[in-house]
Amino acid sequence: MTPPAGGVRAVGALRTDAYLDALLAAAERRAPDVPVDVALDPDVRLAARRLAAELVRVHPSFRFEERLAARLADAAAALRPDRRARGGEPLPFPVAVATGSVALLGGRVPAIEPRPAELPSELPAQPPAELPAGLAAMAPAVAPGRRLPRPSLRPAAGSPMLGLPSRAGLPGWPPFPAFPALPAFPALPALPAVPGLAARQLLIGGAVTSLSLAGAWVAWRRSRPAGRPGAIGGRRFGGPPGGLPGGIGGGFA
Amino acid sequence: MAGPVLRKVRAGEGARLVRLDPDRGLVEAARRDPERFEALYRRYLARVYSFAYHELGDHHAAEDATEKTFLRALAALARFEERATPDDGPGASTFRVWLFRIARNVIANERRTARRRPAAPLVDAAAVAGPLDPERTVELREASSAAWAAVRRLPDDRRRAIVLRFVDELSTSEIAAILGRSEGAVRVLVHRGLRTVAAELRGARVGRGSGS
Repeated sequence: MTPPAGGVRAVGALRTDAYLDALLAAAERRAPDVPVDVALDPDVRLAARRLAAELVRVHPSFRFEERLAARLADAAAALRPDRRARGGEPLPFPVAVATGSVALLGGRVPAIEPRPAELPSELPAQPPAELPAGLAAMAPAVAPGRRLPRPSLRPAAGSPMLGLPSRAGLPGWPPFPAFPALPAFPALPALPAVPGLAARQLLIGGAVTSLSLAGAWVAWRRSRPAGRPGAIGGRRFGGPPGGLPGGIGGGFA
Repeated sequence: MAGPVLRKVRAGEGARLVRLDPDRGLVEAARRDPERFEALYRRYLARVYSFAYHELGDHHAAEDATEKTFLRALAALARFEERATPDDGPGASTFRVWLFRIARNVIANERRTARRRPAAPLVDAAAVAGPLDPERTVELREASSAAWAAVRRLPDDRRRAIVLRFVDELSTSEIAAILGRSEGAVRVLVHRGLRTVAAELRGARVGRGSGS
């Protein structure tokens, strides 16, 4: 072996390094013995074995591990370019195209630079024919190159609003008349008691009501003696002759 | 210690071996989808945490340093470059080295902060014994205290090299890339650190033997 630069100290360091490689590899494969270099200082070898045994790898708590994992997941979700992890796809922003229509283009066309509206530098001498009459009457007052006047809210000549009295000279509103106090509400006389009103039954539901009515009818029908006109149908549908019908269900089945 | 992943590359007339990053697949997946960074996080959490814990000697400070390390790594993952050139050293281009460089910087900042706010020293990090054997517990704690005290009394660069070598089981070339030193310098650092620890332990043995 060629002695490295540094002399004996570097040779000792190389020897120690080779021993540490073997020592740590033996610990990884759970080998029972460790290769021993007789030229290595025994104290250094002992210290290395002791540190390899005692300088253990420490694992953090499970709570910390999961908390940091959740924080990293949040940071990773924020780093994703499409932001799908935030709960959905972003909606395409409406983009105004050059023709004035608005379309959802999904960002697949180049962005349109916003520009200020182009105004004519000079106003025409004559108002255009398609201008409304009120605005056309106002137009001659505007000289070309001057700012547009502020529109006046006064009624024009001949307007029916001119006949109305001016609000400026009107006195203030008269005080609102106070209403007289309302008489006390007379006490209602007690109504006479209605017999059976307190015992009125409350019927709930259509099916329950139908079953209740059917049961009442069956009970009433069973309490009737045979031979009455109502029993004829029951006998014709299989009921015992001269007796009570054999039951609604059995007779009809 | 995981073995290197090698690939034969044609350079000129001959072929040479280039060490590939064993985490290349996970790194590329995390670059495409940052949520896949979790696999790298789970793989290196204990190592980074152990490095921070043995350097800082406090669980809370180690947790803070670990959290900052992984958050910075995730944010800077797009800038990570795997440079598998022999000039950079065989371990210079791996994700593991890059991650430990971030951890080293974070831990250095934490240590600077801790110097301004001193805390209680670490005394019983590696004490392991059964609860029913108090004498053995005390003996082991004293012994590990001696080893720990010896390691903690080392200069910063030696202690860092010893921790990376024994706790994180990194190779000399990886430690050299992390610390920004040559491999020979790292070998000397570890060797001198071991000699210092051995001398302290021998002195402790002698003192215990004369005391008893």
